[in-house]
Amino acid sequence: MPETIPMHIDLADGGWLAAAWNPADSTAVGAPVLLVAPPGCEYERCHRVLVAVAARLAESGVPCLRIDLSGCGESSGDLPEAGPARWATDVAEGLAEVLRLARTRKAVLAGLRLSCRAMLEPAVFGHPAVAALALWEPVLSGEAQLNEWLVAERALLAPYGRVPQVDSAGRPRSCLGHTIGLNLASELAAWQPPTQVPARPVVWISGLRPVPAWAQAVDCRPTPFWDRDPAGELIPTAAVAVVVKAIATLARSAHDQA
Amino acid sequence: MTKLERPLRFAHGLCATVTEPEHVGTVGAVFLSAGLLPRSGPARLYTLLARRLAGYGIPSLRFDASGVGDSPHRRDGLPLAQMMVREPAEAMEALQREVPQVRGHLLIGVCAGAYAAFLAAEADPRVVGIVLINPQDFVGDGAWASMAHARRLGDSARRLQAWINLATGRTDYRKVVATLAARVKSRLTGADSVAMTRASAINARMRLLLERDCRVLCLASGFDDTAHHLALLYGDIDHPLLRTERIDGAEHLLRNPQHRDDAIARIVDWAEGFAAVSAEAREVVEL
Repeated sequence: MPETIPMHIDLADGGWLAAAWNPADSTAVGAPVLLVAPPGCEYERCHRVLVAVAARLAESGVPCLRIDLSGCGESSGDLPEAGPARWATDVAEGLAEVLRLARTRKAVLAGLRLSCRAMLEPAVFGHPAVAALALWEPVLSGEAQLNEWLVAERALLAPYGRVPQVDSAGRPRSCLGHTIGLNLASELAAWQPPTQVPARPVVWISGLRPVPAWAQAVDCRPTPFWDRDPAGELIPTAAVAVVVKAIATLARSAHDQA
Repeated sequence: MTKLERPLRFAHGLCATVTEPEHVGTVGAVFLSAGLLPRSGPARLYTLLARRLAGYGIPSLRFDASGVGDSPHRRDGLPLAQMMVREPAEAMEALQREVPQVRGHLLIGVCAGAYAAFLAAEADPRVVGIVLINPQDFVGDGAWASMAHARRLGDSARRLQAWINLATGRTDYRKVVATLAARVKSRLTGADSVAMTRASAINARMRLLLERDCRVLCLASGFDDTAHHLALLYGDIDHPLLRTERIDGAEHLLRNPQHRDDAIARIVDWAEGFAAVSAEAREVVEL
């Protein structure tokens, strides 16, 4: 099992992004991967699965840097103060760090759920160091994410005879203990699906959502672990294997081109 | 501004975050993994609480136990019961290496982390206080669990909403029937008396901890069996160092911002006695 090195990426404003670096077991055979955890309540539910993906990538010779977005996990700040613009900047910071750690000029961006949307900002995917993108069960609009969080909050509260608190637009004020706040809810609601798409290889790993024309489909049996309590769930090893294979293929291709 | 937090690896590669304020005293806090959740805790409870405690001059370390979060599995085959004592001890040593002023420790845990805090406190005289948030596993006995759950059902039966939930299908009546059946079985088979014997032993161990001047704060969520577990276990202990508080309406992992913030406020209030920073000089650290 490759080692995991916890680290911080220091930001210019005094904050930091928490990260975990999994160097490749032996000589790297693929470009490094920046793996970005989803924000909010899905962070906790997806953490174990992303740890498994990063470890298996490293075992197969693909170094991987996992990051927590601002206001999430071990990173600085709180969720209501973060938002789409900040998260897009976070991905760019993570990209710079993974290039520095792996001493390469190209890297693959891999996201899960809403973190995929941050990668689809032109300023992020347009960076010359981005070789390819892997989008795992992507959520492409903030509105869709808010709706899913509302459903999750409703499911949590139903056994106690309670209903979620919502703002005047019907958006959840919190999800599973994470405050969303009015500003973040408004920013998310305005975060529409991307109008520009990357002119780079993009794989779309999903068993739930139809693949757009600009991406290549990788079929993955739907295992909505982001919607379930990790204490009652096994790591979906079959899905992890599919995801690792898809990302590693992109990373090797980028490595060969480099 | 000096950066308040830094990552750390210790022992056999356990991953952690150290929070070190500018002014520190001699007491630090160690957060213990809440089940399989990463070291930020449920709804980031540990991260937010660590940053609040920093404002009081209390440095802290939160870590992923073996096989949890970013930490690797142990390779020495150490049994779980021993791991729950050894890893908190290793974490305390790591915090003392990082922040040499620290001499005494507070252990803070939710659910399984609370149980680990109790075990580790018993074993280590450096522990001067423990915060047990919704501990349930003290007795590790099916009869005990059904006893506590039945007490909770008894409480619920006095609330109109509970009957509405039952009538409208919001409450799983099969679970209610199963609990009542388990109670009958436990009484008939004598399992109750075995569970009570185990509980008495836990009660005696808690008394020993208190006699050692270890302060204890138990937080129990209203929508959880914990309050009933604690009432059965420690209800007869009247000791100034044992404080039990209930957070009404909260569920097991405090996944509501008000309940989480309420828990943080209560813990900070309790921990004030360990604060290294005077109230006048204190400022809430915001990151």
